[in-house]
Order: sequence, then C-alpha cells, then structure tokens
Amino acid sequence: MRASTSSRPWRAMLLVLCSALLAACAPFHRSIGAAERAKLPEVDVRVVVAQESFMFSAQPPGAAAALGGGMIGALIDSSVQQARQKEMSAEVGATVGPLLDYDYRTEAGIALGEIGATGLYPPLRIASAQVLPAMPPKAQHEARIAATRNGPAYLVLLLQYALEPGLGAFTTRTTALLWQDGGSEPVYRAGAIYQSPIGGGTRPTVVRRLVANDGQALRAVMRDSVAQTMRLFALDIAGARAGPVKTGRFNVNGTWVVIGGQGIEDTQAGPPRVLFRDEDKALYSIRSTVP
Amino acid sequence: MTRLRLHHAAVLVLLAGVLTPLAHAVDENEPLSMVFESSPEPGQRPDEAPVPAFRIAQRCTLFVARVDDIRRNKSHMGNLTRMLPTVHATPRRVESLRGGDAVPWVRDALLATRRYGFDTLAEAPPAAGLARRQLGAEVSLRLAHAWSVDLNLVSHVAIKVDYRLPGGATVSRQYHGMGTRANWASANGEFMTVLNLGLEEAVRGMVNDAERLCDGRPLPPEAP
Repeated sequence: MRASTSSRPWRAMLLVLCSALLAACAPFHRSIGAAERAKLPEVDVRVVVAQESFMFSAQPPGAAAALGGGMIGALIDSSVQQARQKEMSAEVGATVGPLLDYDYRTEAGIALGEIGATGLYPPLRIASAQVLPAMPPKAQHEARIAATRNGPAYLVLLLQYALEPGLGAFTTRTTALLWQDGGSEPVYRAGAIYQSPIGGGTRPTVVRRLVANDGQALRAVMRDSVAQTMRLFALDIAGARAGPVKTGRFNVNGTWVVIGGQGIEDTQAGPPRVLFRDEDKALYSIRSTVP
Repeated sequence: MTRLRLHHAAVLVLLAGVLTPLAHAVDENEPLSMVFESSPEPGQRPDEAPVPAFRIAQRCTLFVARVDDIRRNKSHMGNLTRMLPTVHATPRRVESLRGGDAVPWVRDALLATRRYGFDTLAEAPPAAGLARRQLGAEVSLRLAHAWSVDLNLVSHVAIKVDYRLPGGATVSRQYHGMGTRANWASANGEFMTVLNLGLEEAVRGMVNDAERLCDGRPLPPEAP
C-alpha cells in the first residue's frame, strides 16, 4: 500500500514523459489548410544554410539504427566513429579541399535570383528571397513571425547539403516552415529531399569532374537543388494532386536502393526527375541518370 | 516495492530518452571562446602507457609572418542540427555557433608547435633573409566548422600555408584536420574543444612539411 502511494508521483512523471515521447513521434508533415492557402499573401523566403562546407563523418547519420538502434548501438556507433574519423582525415582533405572553392550559399543565391526572375510553377508569390548563413537568433526569428500579421508570409527553409559516402550522389535535405497572419505555429510544415547522381569512377575522378571548368558540374547541381526544392514545396503548398506510384534509385549513405511513393502530379516536370511523396508525406525529387 | 523500482527505472529511462535530444546547450548569445588549448600528448594522461612524444630531430625556426582569416563566413563556426536517423530525415532544428576573432586562435595553435621542437615566432623573417634551418610562413584559415553527428561532435579545419625558404623560394600547401569527441551536452565549450582538435591536427600536418623543408628536403607532391 505504501509503495502504491509513494509511486503516484512516479506514475505521473511516467505519463508526462510518455506523452512527451509520443509527441516527438507525431507526424511531421502539416498540410496547409484550404483557408490559409486561399489567402496566402506574398512570401518572404529565407533559406538557412548553416554549414560552412561539406560535412563528412566516418559514421554517417543513421548507422546506430542499422546496428539495431538503442543506446548500445549508439555507443558502439560513437566509438567506431571516433576511431575512424582520424583515419579518414586525409581522404576528407583530398575530397573537400578542391571543393572549398565553391560555395553552396552563393549558388543558392543565384538560384533564388533566377526563381525571382522567371517565377515558380505553381505560382508562389515571392516578395523577397535570401540565403542566410545561420539560423536567426530566437528573438529576431520570433519578431519576424509576429510581423506576418500585417505583412508577407514567412517561409523558412532549413537546408543541409551533402555528398553521399563514396561520392555517388549529391543530396539536400530541407525542412520548410511557413508562418502567416501572425500565428506562432507554422501553417505549413514539410520535408523535402533532393538528390542527383554525380558518381561514376574513383574519388579523384569524381572530384575532377565536379570542379572542371570552374566547378561547372558542382555549381549546376547546387543551383538545381534549390530550384527543385522550391518547386517541390510550391507544388505541395498548391495542393498538387497525387499521381501514379513512382520509383527511383536513391543513394542512402553510399548504397543505392530503390524507393518510391505516390507520384506528385506536375505538368511541367521534365522526364529525368521523379517527384513523389513517401508514406510520411516527405517530398522527393530524385534523378536516376547522371546529368 | 518491486513495482516502485520498476516505476523508477521506467521514469529514468524515459527521462534519458526525452532529455538527451533536448540537451541543446548551444548558447546563441555567447560566441565561442576562441581560446586554443593543446590536447595532451600521447602518454601524458595518467591512464596511458608512456609513449615518446613527437619531436623534430633538429631545431628549426619558424617565422609566422602573417595569419589571415579568409573564410567566407567569419561570424559562425558550425551548427547543431537535429535530424532523425531515417531515410527521409530533414533538419528539425538548427542552431548556429557564433565564433569570434579566429586570427589569435590560429596564431596560438601555430605558436604551440614549440612543443614539437620548433622555435616559432609570430613575426616576419629577418630583413637580411632566412638562414639555414629557418622558414617563413604565411598562414590563412580557409575553413573551421563543427557539427554534431549522432553522439559525437566533429570538426573540420583547413589552413593554407605559404612557406618562404632560405634563398627566396616559395611553396604552398593546404592542410586539413578533423576533430572528434563525444557530445555530452552540445555545449559551446565542447564545440570549442572539437574545433581545437581539428586545428591541432591541421597544424600537425604542417609540422611534418615544415620539418622536411627545414631539412632541405622537397615536399611530396600534393594529392590529386
């Protein structure tokens, strides 16, 4: 009886913690409501690229899950990575060194400029677009959200770019958060993954190909990633209808797999790209052939 | 009593599960300290077997004439990004690390080459020219950023060194260093430590080449 009484606070904490964990597992995608879509004003777009260069690590994210997950897997993961990180330093230097001359933020700025000049399809009326080198400080971010009450909507894209291990593909992973009408919660929230194959050959061959002609291939894929990502979000915000199931080859941490989902109806998409939503409504734009 | 213990255990496990991802101690209002601290040499830790520390065979004077910060973004030094380990992962939360003046940071790391047997001076080479076993070096910081991966912090630092040799010849090389350490609290100090490890490793690469040049040997060709 005593044990039962004294365990009540623990039970309460257990409930609170379970709720917190379940909340963390809640679906991430939030579609924009029809009412919000109908009155969506012009949008200020801010693309946050918080990394300074390609981020290589000995153990790619998600390896702990491959080890069966949990704390043991994560700890093994951690020690393996620390041991291997030193070993791969020279390789990273040889890979990233030549790529340091090319700046994702610069190319993203060019891509946003092109979008501003030619417009997006489906139309998303862009009032301004900027690439930010860092997440704005909290107070500034909150003030910007509050300003949507009487001004343009605020679309923040948190973008991370990467070369897959083995240099088989260039990938960006982006979260979009849209605020409007001064509400503190985003009216739209989604994730988009862009990938293009760049591989074929040894590391020096791939790096040489990427940086040839003043980085023409690398810069092109960087700009394309921004254009395609913006297009995915514009389609999603516009409520693009689901088409037939589509599949494509996708590079996950250096391994090619076939993934797919409900195709996104896009009357203007070129045949090389495959656009679809997966079961969690994450958006994909992938391409199965080397450009 | 057993039930009570079970409750305690369940709460502790869940608490760990909830708090670990929430332990974002990065302080956006506080820039990194930009204080370089050398890591202990092999064998200096009490639990390690004694290992002879690296020292160059003969002393060499290194004049560090200039240190420049040529990074594109001088105000930030990395990020803490929360992503789930899934195929469709996208950044859920991003926090940026504010840096400070990187020039003294790099200079201090270069002066720390004294531990390897260099007589390193933060000054220009003598106007009369460099003597034997003397080198000039102009160092540029090209990259310094840190990020989180699973339970670790990782850093990548790149420096470019323009050497000036006795007789007036020049040669340039770029060095990369990667630091890694366990991430306990994503604290600013932890990020600074992992950046120090990356910078130290980049400088260690420079030390190998500087010793060769002091010995009058040519540098191996750069990796393609």
